Amino acid sequence: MDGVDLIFKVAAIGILVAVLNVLLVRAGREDQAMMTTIAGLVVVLLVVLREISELFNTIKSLFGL
Amino acid sequence: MLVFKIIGIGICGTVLALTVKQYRPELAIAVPVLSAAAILLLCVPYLSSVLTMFQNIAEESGIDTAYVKIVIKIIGVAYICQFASDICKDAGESSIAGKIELGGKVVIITLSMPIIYGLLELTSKIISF
Repeated sequence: MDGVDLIFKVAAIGILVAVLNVLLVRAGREDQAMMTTIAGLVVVLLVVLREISELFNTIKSLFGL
Repeated sequence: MLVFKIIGIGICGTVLALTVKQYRPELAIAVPVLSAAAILLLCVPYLSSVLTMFQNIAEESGIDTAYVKIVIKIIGVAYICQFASDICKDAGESSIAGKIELGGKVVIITLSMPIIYGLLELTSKIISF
């Protein structure tokens, strides 16, 4: 069931980054807005990477690839 | 039932993907990938029982277990290539999806070479009588 929680986590990160972005742009700090976007992207990619590697390991052990 | 769990994850993933796509298009690809992975991980235990049953039947019926192993490997390769190419199609990169499918076909052909050789030997033996 951990996979399902990850989906909601990633969606929450995405929306959070979007809100932060708007706030920072409104506050006039475009560079920090870019930073948060990139940080959010990195975090999400790490989460996806871990999930995909776990999936590939189970498939590899299951099918004997 | 497993089916309802899978449908629930699929619909939640689609809805979340749409909401995230509005705000952050580059993060929107992560949600379908994660929901697809979650659904696949849910199916794995059922799949392993089906595969063991498949192997038992093959052993009892006297089929050479090497061929059965190759067939199971080919199923695995097809399974994963379909997963990856669908994700690429989701993201709009249909050309990359086509290349992944091509790669999968090449791998499957190379995996199935022993079976083809076995078949040829069998037929040549039958014809040579």
